[in-house]
Amino acid sequence: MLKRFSGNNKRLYQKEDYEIALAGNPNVGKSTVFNALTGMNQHTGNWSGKTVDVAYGIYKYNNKTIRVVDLPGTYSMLEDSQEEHIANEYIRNNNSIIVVILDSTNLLRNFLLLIQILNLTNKVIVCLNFQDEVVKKGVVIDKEELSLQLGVPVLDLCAKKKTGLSVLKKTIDELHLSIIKTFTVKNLLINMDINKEKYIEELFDRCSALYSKTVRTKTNSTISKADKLFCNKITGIPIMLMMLGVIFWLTIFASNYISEYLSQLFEFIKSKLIYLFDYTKMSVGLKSFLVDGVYTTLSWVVAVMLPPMTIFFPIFSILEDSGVLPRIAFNLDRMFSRFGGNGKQALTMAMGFGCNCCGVTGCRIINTSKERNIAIITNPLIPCNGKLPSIIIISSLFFTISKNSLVNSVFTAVVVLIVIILSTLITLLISYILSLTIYKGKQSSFVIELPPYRKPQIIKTIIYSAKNRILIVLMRAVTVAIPAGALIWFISNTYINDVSILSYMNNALDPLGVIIGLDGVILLAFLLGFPANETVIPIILMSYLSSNTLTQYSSDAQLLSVLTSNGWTVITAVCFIILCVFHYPCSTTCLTIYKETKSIKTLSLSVLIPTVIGVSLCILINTLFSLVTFS
Amino acid sequence: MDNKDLLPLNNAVLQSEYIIKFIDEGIESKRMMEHGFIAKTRIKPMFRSMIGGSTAYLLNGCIVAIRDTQAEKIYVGKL
Repeated sequence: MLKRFSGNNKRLYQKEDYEIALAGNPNVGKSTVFNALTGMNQHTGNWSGKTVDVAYGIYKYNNKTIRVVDLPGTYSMLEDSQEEHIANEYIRNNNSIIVVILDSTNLLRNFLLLIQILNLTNKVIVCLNFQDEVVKKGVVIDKEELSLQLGVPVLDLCAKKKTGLSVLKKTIDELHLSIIKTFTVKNLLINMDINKEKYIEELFDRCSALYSKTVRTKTNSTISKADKLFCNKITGIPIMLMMLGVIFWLTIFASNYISEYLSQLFEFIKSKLIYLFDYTKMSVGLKSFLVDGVYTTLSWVVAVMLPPMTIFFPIFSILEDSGVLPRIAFNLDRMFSRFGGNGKQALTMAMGFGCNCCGVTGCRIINTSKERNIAIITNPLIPCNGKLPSIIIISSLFFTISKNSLVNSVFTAVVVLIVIILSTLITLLISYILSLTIYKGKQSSFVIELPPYRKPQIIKTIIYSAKNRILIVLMRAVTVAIPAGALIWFISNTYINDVSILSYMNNALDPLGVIIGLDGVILLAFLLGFPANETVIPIILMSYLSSNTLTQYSSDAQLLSVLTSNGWTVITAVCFIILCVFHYPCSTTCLTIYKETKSIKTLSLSVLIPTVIGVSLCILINTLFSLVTFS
Repeated sequence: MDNKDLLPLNNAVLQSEYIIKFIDEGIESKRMMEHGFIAKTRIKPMFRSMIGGSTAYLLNGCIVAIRDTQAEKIYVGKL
């Protein structure tokens, strides 16, 4: 039955008794209802189009296992976008119960989708979400009348506080067992043979009639204080930059401490491991392979890269929850549209800071293929969470202005902010060039809803993100850092004519490395770091150390001395940061780009553009510096 | 209604209430309609974007932003 349904249609669970689906407009809390029902952790955010893929989960009720499908949020069923197509196909081809989640504070618009769904199926249960906000806004909904007008059950729900869920589960069960009957009221049926515009007009008339019969509202038409500040010409940009700056500063400042504790812990475990291996009389070669190759790379990646990730993600999620991101898109649309893009690109770029894969997938919220392709190709120009820690570490080592660590951390945050601004400017420039050349065409329209500011679920977000990030980083460490560690140990300990394979490779790359202000070791690290950018610095260090093994990360001073003794200068650091930001995306992002676009051309452009920019900028900086020092 | 009473939405005064009279056929209308930009709907320009180019409107109880180039194809009348 699910075969025609696009998306991940793998049955995850074998014994479901029946299936239900959650449908609704974007940003009405479907993912929160999904999580509350299934106990799963589908990521939530306060902006439209967050659920870009279909999520599945199960819950149990009355000894039955019910499978829940979280359909992507859509405004209508007119099949103009991929999300609408997925939702439409599903409802047409499955006889499941559809739970339509409505934003109680914005019923008129939500009725548009509801009435369209009722024209496709009558196995519907309506849930009025955000009941807490309705009370505050002075909206009164006549639930009985609404149920009568629709012919289906209407339930109150507050997914965030998990109220109304047991009634929902009971109603689903009763509808499944046909204890309650639903039907589509004749008034709501619309002739589908009319043209699209006429159809929407008729639909809207039905919605208005339904709305006036069932909802009494005291519309609050004043601008919120937050919007007065955030969308203001004078205060807007400084607030946005300050927000980014504070996020980076918090990330840098707090991760220093955690890194230090983690490395002490790993050092302790290492000593115990060595003791254990000595005790078991393990051969020296195998011991070195396991401890110096595998364990040390793994602990390095975790100690250095995990803290910034676990701090950056929750803070960013809190920002997502609050409703600030759509305002950023609104504020920046003019700038993006002048460069051939769309304000929504700001959202996908913001997602790119977290992970370029998410950013690329998120580009589905952009409706035209021209602007979507531009946003996809330029997304890898935004440094993701795998690159940011490397940038932060190198900045904090080489760009110091004081002996005070607090002052230095602020300065590092400023440096990182400058890097971010540079990557944003280059993104705009490339978008402009692409829109004039490869992706010429008419600009699309820009319509974005600015949802009410919502209080973020701080504690929950922190716990969820930390748990999730730790798992992801550990998984990546296991799947990428361990094999990488093993490989590097192997090539650095295998000798041909008394020279290790690693040295051969480094020497071969060295001439090119020198031209771009780096060396063969750094270039090789970028090449070997293709599966995960997090491994670039550990690989560099491993290559530098004469013992051919990676040292334990213990202090910034030690790290700095390893780098400077291998010829690193401030220029090397600058070139490293530039190349770190601008080089081909990681393997997972490449796969995602291909999956999203099915186009080798788009994939090639997104690999070539950042690499060419990075290498050219490095050559330029290095040449300029050489000229200055020479003269 | 006289044409002189009609005003393109991009020229509407902030914080004043209007009613949508008609929408130019040429406009990419589907998504706009879904967001409630449809004749007979009350609309109130709320605030402009930080660097201009688009405006946020209150309609049907929610705030939706569109570009001024789109708004100039929507004609409104005073309430």
